[in-house]
Amino acid sequence: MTFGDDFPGEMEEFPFDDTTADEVFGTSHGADPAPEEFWDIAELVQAARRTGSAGELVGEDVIVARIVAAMGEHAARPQGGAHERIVALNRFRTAKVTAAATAVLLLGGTAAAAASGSLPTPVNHRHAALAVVQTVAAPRHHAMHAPGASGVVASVNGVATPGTCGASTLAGTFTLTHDADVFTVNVDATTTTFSEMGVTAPTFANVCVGSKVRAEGAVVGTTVTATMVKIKPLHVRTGAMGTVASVNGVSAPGSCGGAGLPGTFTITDHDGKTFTVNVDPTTTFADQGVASPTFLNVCVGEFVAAKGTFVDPIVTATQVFIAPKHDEKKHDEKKHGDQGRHMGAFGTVASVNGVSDAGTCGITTGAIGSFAITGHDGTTFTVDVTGTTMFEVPGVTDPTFANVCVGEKVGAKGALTDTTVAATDVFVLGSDGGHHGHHGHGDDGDHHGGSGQPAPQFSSGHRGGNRHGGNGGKGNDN
Amino acid sequence: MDSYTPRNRSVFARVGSITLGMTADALELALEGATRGDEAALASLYRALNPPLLRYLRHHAGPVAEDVAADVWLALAPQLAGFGGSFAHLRALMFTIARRRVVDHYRFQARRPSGVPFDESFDCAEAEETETLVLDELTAQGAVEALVHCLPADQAEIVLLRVLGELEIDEIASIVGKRAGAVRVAQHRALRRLQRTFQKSVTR
Repeated sequence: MTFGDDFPGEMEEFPFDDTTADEVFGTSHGADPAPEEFWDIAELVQAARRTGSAGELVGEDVIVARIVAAMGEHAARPQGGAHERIVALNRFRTAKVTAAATAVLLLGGTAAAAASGSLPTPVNHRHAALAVVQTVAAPRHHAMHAPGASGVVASVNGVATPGTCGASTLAGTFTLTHDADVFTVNVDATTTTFSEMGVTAPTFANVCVGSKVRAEGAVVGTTVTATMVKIKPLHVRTGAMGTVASVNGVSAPGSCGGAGLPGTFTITDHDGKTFTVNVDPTTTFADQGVASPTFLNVCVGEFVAAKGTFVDPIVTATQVFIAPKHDEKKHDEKKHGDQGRHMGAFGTVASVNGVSDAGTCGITTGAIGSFAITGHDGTTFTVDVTGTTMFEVPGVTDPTFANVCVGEKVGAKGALTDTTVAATDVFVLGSDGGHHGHHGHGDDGDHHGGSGQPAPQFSSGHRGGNRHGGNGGKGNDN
Repeated sequence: MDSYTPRNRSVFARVGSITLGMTADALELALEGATRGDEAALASLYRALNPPLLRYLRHHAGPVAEDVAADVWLALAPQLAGFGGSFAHLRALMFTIARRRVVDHYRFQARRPSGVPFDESFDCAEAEETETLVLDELTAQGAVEALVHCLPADQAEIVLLRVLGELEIDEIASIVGKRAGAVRVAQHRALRRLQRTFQKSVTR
């Protein structure tokens, strides 16, 4: 898509049709092979559809048994068994999810409809909400107050030495601490059931000082007579994943590792936390489509996963996985060659003609100058404007460079050389343009800040917003 | 048109997955048995459906994905008894429930006051653990994230439902509450963006 074509006729702009999409995304049943240019995507689709790993099937026996039980109860007591059924079902549901469901139910019946998948249309939501509230709300609320205690095991049978565990065949006692509270938990080899993810038949021997556990059972004061003890598996973190922020101390976009090792790079995860990854000659690298990847393939801006020994925040990597690149610039160069490139940058104006004071704007006449914008990832772009540069500003009849001011959100379209844009068009989105800065192609109206996040809305109604990363709006969906 | 041949060069290609190899017919048989309460048949369904469900939920719900997945199964259970549709219908129903759970999850996240400690912290998986889990599950979950990490939320959702739910456009439109045409356009945009993203590796 180009800047202005996300309206009627846009479907004609796609270089492929529904059949291609079906070949790539469709099910394996009866789908034609994907065209070669989509092989990598199809490969990822197939990888995403891999059959389950052991980790994805943990607890299968338990949950299947519960589902069978729930089915039986449902069949036996379609009207009156809801309470008992839900109480049984809630054994699976952690308090967090239960709290979420209860909060939703308390806040409104609309969301409660989500508890049932049988009534997918809006028309039926009302009925779903009524049914669900009647059958689910109370038990879920009760489940939040299921008797028991959770926390870290402070002592086992009176011994607080780290690593001390219970005995598998004997009754015993351990203490739990949770904030300032201390609970004593009594267990019995015959009446207490133990559960630990990944352990076939856990016992009291799996309860050790330092373990995180939840004990369920009758509570008298601060003593729990446990019928169920759930032991939280101890996870040892082995790595980190995120976007490469710097390589060997260099954070310039595109900077890559060197041939010599050892080396280091930093990655920033989805929470913004930075990790340092050390690589050495023993580190193996994997990069899709590269026969023998090395540290040279680790570049700033790429998405990688590093695995090895983790001592927060440092990963001494034994393996580095490099995900497929989101390299629009190089792709665009390849796609368009040396002509007709529609590239540019988006971001907030940091300075105009070298002046970064708030409110500083460009000049009206002889509009040759430049301004700097900072993209969402912190990259600074220089935008050169000339007398032929076209400006577009919502609500302004004849906008000029004077409408470009420090602090405003803008999109600049034109040839991009490194971080300099020779602007043919500049779109001023205002100081609250509602989009995230973005560099690269100027041909999409649907970029955003990342998947899984609420789409920011561009509220000015100006087409430029949708065309330049405003994401949100009708431009995306229609 | 060249045929698609899986190549053993993906960063996501790792051993360790359980190969179940259930055919469509076997799944239909499993569904038939499951609707009668046959535990073995239900286990087969679980093995077939839980992994994609979990991958979808991990993308959205992260640390609580397993809990939400269990919640989805438990919501599905009452409807499984006497279920009259096909395996594809069941899968669509499951992802319909899952999608709604995800909406609930986001609503709850939005409404939950920040900074208030969760009093059942034991039951909350830690982000680090999930991250480690993702690393360990790079075969599939890594592929999922690689597919959608550069997509806008609406496109990512459609791709997730297409890839993991194996749903058709009309089904997705029903689930996400949009017109089929809008879903189709979003899918095309996603595909084009993906094509651009992965072009480089194709041409290496």
